[in-house]
Amino acid sequence: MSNSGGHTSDAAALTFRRLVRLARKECRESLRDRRTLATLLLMPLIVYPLLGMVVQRFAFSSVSPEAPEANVVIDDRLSPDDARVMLAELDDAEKTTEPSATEPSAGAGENTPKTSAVTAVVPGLELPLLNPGTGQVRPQLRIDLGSTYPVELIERGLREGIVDVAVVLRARAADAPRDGTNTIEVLYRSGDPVSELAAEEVAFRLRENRDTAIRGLLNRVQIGGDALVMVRQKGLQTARRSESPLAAFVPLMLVLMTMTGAVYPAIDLTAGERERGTLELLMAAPVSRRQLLTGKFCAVFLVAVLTAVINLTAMMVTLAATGFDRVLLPQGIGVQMLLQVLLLLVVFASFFSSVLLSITSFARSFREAQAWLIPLMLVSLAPGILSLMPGIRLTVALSLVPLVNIVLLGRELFQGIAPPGLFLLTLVATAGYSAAALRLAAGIFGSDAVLFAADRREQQRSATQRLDFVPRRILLGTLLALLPLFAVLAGLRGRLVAPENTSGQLLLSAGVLVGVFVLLPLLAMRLGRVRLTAGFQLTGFHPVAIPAALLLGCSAWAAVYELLLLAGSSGALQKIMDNPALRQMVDRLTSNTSLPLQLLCLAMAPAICEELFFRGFLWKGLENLLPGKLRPLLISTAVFAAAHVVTDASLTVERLPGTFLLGLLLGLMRMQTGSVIPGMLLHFCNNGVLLSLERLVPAMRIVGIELDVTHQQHLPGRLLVLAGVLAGVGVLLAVISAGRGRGRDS
Amino acid sequence: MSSSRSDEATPNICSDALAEPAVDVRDLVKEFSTATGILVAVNGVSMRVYPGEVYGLLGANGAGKTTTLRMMLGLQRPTSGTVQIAGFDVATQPIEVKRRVSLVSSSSGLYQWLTPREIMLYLADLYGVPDDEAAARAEMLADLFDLRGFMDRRCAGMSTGQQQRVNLARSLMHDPPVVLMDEPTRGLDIVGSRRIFEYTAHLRQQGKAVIFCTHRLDEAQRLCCRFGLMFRGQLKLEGTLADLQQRTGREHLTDMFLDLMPAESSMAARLTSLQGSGEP
Repeated sequence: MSNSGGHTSDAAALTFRRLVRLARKECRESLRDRRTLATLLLMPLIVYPLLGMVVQRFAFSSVSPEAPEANVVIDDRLSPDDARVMLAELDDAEKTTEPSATEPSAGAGENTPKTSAVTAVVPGLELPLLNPGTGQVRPQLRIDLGSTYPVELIERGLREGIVDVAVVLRARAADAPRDGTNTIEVLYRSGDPVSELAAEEVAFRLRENRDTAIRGLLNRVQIGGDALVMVRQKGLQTARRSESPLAAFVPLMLVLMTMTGAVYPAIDLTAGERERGTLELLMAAPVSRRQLLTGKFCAVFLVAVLTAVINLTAMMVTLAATGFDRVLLPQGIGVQMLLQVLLLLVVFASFFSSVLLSITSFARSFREAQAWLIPLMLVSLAPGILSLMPGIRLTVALSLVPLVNIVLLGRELFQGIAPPGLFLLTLVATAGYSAAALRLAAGIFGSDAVLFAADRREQQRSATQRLDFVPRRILLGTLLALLPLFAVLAGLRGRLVAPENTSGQLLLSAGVLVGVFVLLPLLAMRLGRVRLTAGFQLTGFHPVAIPAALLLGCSAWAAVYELLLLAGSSGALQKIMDNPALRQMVDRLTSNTSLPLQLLCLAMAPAICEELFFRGFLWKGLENLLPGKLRPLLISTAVFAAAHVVTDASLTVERLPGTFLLGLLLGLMRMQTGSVIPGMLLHFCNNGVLLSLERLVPAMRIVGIELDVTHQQHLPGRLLVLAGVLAGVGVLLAVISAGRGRGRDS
Repeated sequence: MSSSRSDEATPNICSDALAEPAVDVRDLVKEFSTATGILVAVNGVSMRVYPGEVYGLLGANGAGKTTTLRMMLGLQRPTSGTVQIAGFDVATQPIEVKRRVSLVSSSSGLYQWLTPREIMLYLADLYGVPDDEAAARAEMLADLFDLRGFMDRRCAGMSTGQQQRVNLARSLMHDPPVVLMDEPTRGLDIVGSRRIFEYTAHLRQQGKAVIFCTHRLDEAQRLCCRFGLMFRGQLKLEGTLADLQQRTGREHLTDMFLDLMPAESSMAARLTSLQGSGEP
């Protein structure tokens, strides 16, 4: 036994050593390639400084920036008249630039000439945000002189963003020594550039006006004309942060540059092997494809990380050199933030490297790989553009969406508002997707389909012959077009028919299903010369599949419901019931519409269209793409469930378990019968029963069954027994129907 | 190769026929599904190759030679039949089989950014050759194939001849008992072809079992001990040259092969049929 244990650890060590060597060879090859080096080193050294120079010299200098406006309020110990005097704007000639020695450093530094007055007005913020006309950037202060407010209210207003700056008197107590210090505090919001800039301006004016106005004030409040007065700025910490769209640009740039760095090595190490004529040698070697691909992944990942680090460094250096760091990152860059960003980039590099490898593993040539990657790059831009929109925050749901989660998290990290929980969730989710993509790549790389161009079946047919399978280019092209088409059609639906026209909405929803799930793959198959009956799996089946589908369709909903309850998903069920988006959709579509119309649009249309697509076209394409029977079942089910999560404009993740189970059942029916037609019937019955449940309650009551699903109660025993019997018979019949059905799968 | 040139005539006996076969193929079949039906690329091929023997697997383009080789390597799964390499079954022990086989192909390329030494050591690592043994073999093969001058120079920019020698050298890094050669002389000039012949003779001297796939029947006749002529996926003729000459009454392999082709498939026959049909 100890021998076998030692043997296992020796084998593991050997495997690890081999992996290291495989990775070393791939890294060596990648890093010696001049094109990789050019992308890795030259681009960051050239692009960022160039971009910085352009923005600095041309973009901002050609624009006359409007001065930001800030709301200023005063303490109720001060009078409006005093405030008017204290905060009066000075003529340029009256400005002094000598700071008081007793004050905390916030005042102007040096005696600078007028053309450089911006540095005197806003010390430390040495940005050439110059208006060529005035030479200054000063905020417009909207000083509320109509009212004064207590300090507590002022501080609250500051935190909530109602007020940008407040002037508060912190006078020493009357019985305190007369040589004590009185302070006028200028309160502002930390991390808010406008608030900080306005505070600088207010403090400047206070200091300048101090000798004349403030001493007079202090005399009136009987503090004494010789009392020291300090003007001090104090920042209040608050959860509010100004959302700088420019800060969102930084993570997007980093993501794009990381992708750019990884693309070439990924193509070269996969499709490039075939072009070089070395793929066959690799496949003939006694090494698993997974090990080979892990080595390649290490190389691509290394280049991606190096690219990210070099780009990040170049970006930070450029920002510091041009002074834009204080605009984009007013709270500064701490070590913690930098480490978080680096960790995020590492995880993203891992994800993108594995996704790239899984795509390029399909390709048989460099050119083909590039063709596959162009759509990916374009798709990757979308989350980045999304992240530029203010108001979109990282949520739990978005943390699970690849690419979007990375970009949003990067933006919030730069803004200093990233929640730790979502940070971890994003990392874990991204790492999971990375592992899945790598596994997919290992299955594809060097497989027959790539090695021997074994869509040879497609190549061997004549021009007039049609295919009995779905080629991968047809499948992938359709999938890529599906989401944008759905988004466009669903959006148009809202414009073509008024929301209150619920019947029209129902019919158009059905129309969208037909367009997306039937017409699109149909068009793709026509273009690819695929036989439609084969592509949609509209084949014959054993007649007993019909009653099997009927019985299962009428009983499946009960099984799914009980399974979810037993799994402790009562919270999920309640969320489904309470989800406003879902309720709104259901109410909108089912109120004021007849049951036949509901059955047509919400039962029949989905049954036919979704079965043709998910269990027909998609399944057929997956069969051609991946080995085994289970993978098409699981992947098509996962895609089916994911598609049902999207509800109008929101995500209803709570539906996932139920739709996954239903999808699995439909997939098994397809697998057993070899046709999508029984599944259509099952799907129709399932949806139809769910739509008709409320109407069925009186009928059930007659037979002694009290049905109440709105309060998460277990279903009545009689109903469960009935459903169980129906389901059992249905399963039996489905198994019987398998004998004839399976033979028809190609 | 720096070894002396070999002008041996085709040997009649290359191997010890009493030895266990290094390659044992039985009833190998490979079918492909096409739009028009099933395409049988390899149809019941059986053969044995012994250590120290050069077996010429011959046939025209599309005869099924390369598909047969790929099934022996485990790169494609047979529809039916078995392949054993050095006693290991390809279907059940693919890794063991791959350890004992090497592929030399005209379409094999090199890693442009690596040196010959790095390539050879990399492949040795893939085949599980210990480091010290790999280093020693690399030096030995560098001498054998005259690679010293560019052993540590990157492969980019090497001449065709140099790349060919590197390819041949790397194929022997793990000292396999079986070497499969798939159209190795394709695209080579006379010097390159001669190098292949010398290499093959060297392999035979080393006691390796070599399967030499080519459609160049003339060069196969010079080189191989036994022959298997394939036509449309089937092994139509097999034996030594003397056996085949006796069986077919033909002296040259080319003539034997032409006799295998159906009469109506030859161009002359087709032209004759056109003339007979009165078509202009």
